[in-house]
Amino acid sequence: MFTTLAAGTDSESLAQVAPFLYLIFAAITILSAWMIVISQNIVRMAMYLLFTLGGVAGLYFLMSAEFLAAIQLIVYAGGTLILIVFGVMLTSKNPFIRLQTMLWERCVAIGLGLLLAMLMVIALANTPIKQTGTEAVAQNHDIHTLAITMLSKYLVPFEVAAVLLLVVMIGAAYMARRRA
Amino acid sequence: MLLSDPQWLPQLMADLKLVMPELWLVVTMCLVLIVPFIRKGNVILPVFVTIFGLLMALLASQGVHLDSIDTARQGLVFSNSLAIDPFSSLFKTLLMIFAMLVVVQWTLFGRDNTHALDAPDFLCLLLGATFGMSLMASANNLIMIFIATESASIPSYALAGFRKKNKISTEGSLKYVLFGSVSSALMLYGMSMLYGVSGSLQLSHIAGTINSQGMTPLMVVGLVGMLGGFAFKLSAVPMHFWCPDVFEGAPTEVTTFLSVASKGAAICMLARVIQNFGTIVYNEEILTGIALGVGALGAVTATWGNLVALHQSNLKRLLAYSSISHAGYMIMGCAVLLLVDPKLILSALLFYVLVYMFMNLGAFTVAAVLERHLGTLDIADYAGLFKKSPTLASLLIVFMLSLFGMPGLGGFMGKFLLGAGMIKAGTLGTVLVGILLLNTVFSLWYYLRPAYFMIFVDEQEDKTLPVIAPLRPAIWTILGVCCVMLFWTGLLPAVGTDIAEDNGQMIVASAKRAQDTNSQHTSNVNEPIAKADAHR
Amino acid sequence: MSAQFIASLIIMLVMLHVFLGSISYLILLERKVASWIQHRLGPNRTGLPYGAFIPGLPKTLWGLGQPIADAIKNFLKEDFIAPGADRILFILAPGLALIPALVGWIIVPFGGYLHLNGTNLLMGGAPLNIGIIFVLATGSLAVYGVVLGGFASNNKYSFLGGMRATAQMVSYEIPLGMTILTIILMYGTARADYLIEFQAGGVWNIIYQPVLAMMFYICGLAECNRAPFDLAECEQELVGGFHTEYSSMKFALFFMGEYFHMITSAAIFSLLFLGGWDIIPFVKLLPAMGEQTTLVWGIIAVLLKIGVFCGKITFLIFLAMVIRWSLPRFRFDQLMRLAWQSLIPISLMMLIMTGMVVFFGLNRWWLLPGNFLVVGIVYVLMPYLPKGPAVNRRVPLEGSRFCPPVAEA
Repeated sequence: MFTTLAAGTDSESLAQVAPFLYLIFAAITILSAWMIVISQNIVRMAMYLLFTLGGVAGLYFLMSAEFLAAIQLIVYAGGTLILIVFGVMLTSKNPFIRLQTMLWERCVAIGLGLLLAMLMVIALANTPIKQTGTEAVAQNHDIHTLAITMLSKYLVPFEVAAVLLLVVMIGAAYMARRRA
Repeated sequence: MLLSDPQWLPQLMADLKLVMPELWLVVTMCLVLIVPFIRKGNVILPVFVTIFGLLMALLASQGVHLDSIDTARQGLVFSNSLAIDPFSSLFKTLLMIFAMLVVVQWTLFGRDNTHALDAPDFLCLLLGATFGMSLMASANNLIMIFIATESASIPSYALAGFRKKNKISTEGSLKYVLFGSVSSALMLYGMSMLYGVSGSLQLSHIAGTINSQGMTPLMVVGLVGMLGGFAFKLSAVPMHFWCPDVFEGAPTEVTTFLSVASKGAAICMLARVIQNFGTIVYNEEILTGIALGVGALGAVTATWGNLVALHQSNLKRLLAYSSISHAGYMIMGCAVLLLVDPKLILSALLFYVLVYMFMNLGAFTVAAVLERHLGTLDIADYAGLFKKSPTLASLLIVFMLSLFGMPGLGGFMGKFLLGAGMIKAGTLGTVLVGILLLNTVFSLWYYLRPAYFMIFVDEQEDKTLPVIAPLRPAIWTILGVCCVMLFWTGLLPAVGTDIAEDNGQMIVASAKRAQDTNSQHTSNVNEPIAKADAHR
Repeated sequence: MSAQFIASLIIMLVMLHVFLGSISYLILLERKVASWIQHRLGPNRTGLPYGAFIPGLPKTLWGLGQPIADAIKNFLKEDFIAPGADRILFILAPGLALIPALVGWIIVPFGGYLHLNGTNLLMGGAPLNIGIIFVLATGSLAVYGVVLGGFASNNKYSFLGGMRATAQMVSYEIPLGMTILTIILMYGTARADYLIEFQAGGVWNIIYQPVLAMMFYICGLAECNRAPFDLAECEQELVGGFHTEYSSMKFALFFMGEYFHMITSAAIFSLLFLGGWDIIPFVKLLPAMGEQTTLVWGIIAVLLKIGVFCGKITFLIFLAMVIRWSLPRFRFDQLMRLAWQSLIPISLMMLIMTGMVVFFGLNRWWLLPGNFLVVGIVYVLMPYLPKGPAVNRRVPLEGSRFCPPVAEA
């Protein structure tokens, strides 16, 4: 009804600020991910994880995947992570418990991490990445198209996910239930 | 768009007919959940409902032949999400039969350790896992592979920890969850690489990308990551640590179920992925490379499983490592799928799964009986068992020998067919067959250990075995069926191999189709269905 | 820099400061409402001239100087951090409480559209395609401020407050999302500006779906931690709940976060159900999107729209205040039961009902009887539903006024 009249996302202005915003969001994501690893307090880890997820959501916004970004915030930041925090708070006896790692564990972890990072960098550098046109993205980023695709092309995965959630719920209910 | 397409609903209905087994499983799951509202605390009613549902799923999975499938669509239903072909249908048939037997086994043993009100939960989780596994056998794109693996895994985590009060069970379950989530993450990471490189979720499109771009490093990383996820389900070697702990801790019927069904489904999935690559990729070098990688995984898994099994004294752990090595054999079989006539290997794999199902069911049932009546799973404690209950002991020996691959028993025919297929794959195949033979010889040692203790070691003075009370006829029936099936497939393999050969066909979207749909990927979401209609 | 960018920037900057400034006066209003309801006077001593004599102006101007004095007081107080607290989280928490609320309302199209030189300028933040789903996303982040504040204080009362807030907000997000989903289903779009255009000059959504509107309002109250859902900070049980240990501006930030949430949820309510900037239902007074107007009338219309929108927000907040001072607080199990056993099932049924109306292409007026039908079904079915475990049963305190002395057996 209003499609022809409406002002869409202001792509011109977005293009001007996008590189700057990209750097900010990427920095937030990477720095908080790093902080998750080196932090020793589990609640702080959860908080850094929140920033990581938020940064990723920001990157999604920059890629015009608004729905995905919102879902990222709702499901991960608002749902999963808050349950993690909830669980941590309920289970840890001392709220400021520290997770200590051994020196050798740290060394092994750093070594493996660097190895993996190098592998990824080399792999990325040697692979020609096919550029997807931005038009294709812009065309399909309204939720109407997304909904139609999800219920036609990806109908089976969608429904199977529903069944999976049912089964998971039964399993979780069984695990949590107390029987005399 | 889709909804304005008049062919939409008939198409959907036609596709739904092909996934009837899965639909039956879901319906049964809901029914089992509703039953407690009618008869609270009744165990037998949900069991009957479950068996009825599995039976219906079994019947629904019949009758899929290549000629009965619409050739224009090639049995690739729901926009290529699922491939319904003879291979997956036969696996589904076996899976349903096996699930029924496991339900019977649970009714005979596990029920006593379960609160009556928890019975529907158990059955529901079992059905959920079966649902996931039957989807794994047909999964044809990355999303389906991932989500089917998860719907097979997550109920399994709960099933493995079903004895909540038992510490070993809980530990096993926790290890299973941790390993499972890490490997899921690995698989997803790999898949994201594959999607990034190829821009498509379809296996055939990804294979097509290899044709057009070559084997880029990112593609290698993606494939290795995905293989890592598969390795977890198969308990292949770097990802096998959960296997013995889960098998030891979980209720025996769950162990039986996981040892066969989950591995069989994962093998089907691996075979389908490899078959897609084998059909579409035409560069021999790349194919050999993939075969080498998968073959190495299989060889290491088989050897490692056998070597560690040599040290096991617990019957269930021994069987766990034995199942690791069997998974290794099957992976080795999958590896050569790229290089030889796929029909040969696919039918050999199906036959192997068929035989393996009965071997493991029998062995674990005996283990359950022994655990229940003797209160121990330590092999050394079974000294002198042969004199006390010769039938049970000889049955266990038969199952063990079949697992080893004694000629005349089913296990031998399975290995023989697999080896016969592998040997045709040139040098790599010959090396793999050599590893298979060497492993088989090694494994004799530990498969015969229980027999040695039962027959040749006398009962110790201080540790007298309690008398095994007369077993229920149903247990004897299960054991008898397994034993008969093993002799039958071993001595008269023709029937089994015929069935397997008839069904050793797998559908792969052709490369041309893949390219067609790939080019119009973004423009029309409903391309495959619309194309199919044009064909008519 | 496009014209749209500049327009959005101006509107957002102006509205942000208007709302931030209005918060302190909303607090004054809250205290006044409380005093009216409880039949007392409320703050009425601190006039605007602060004691200085200005001819013609009463010395005490209904306490209008109170908010400014409060703000200054908050700035000047000692900013105390308890020694056992987790300093980083403690400092971060008030910010986390305020920022999501500030981000959430960028999708609210306060002024509708201004037709200028053939283009439509949105007089609001951003016309996101996902529209109100964005509010859900930011709203789901709001809980972190409360939880982390409660955790970092290292105080049992704060901790309990934080836990309660988590459970409450996670639970009420579900029916909130369901109601929003119902509206999206009804109009086929999630964009806030379209939703208003659909209602403007016609039937407001609250007339179609009164029950849904009520549910949305309840969930909005719960998401804002407002009474009767303010279990996170109920002063009779938990001292101050999650903000017990906070003082000075940090405390004020929590307060501002709460009020800003109220503003946001009131804005969302008015755009979903009250036709946004529309003045009265059924009558078209203001120009719709894309309508050709003269520049002066266009600008006047935009200002009018912003005024009407703010008026509706103020009214809804006033309503929340009246509710706060007239209803007693829920007990925690009642709170959970309200969400899981009534709001979620009813919102699901509403979704199905609306979906059927949309699918069969019926007139939207069918939604009105549909709403009451759902309520009727719930009313009939309620006694037959399986009962949950009885928690918080009344403990018979012998001799108390709830339990007469038990006779000796």
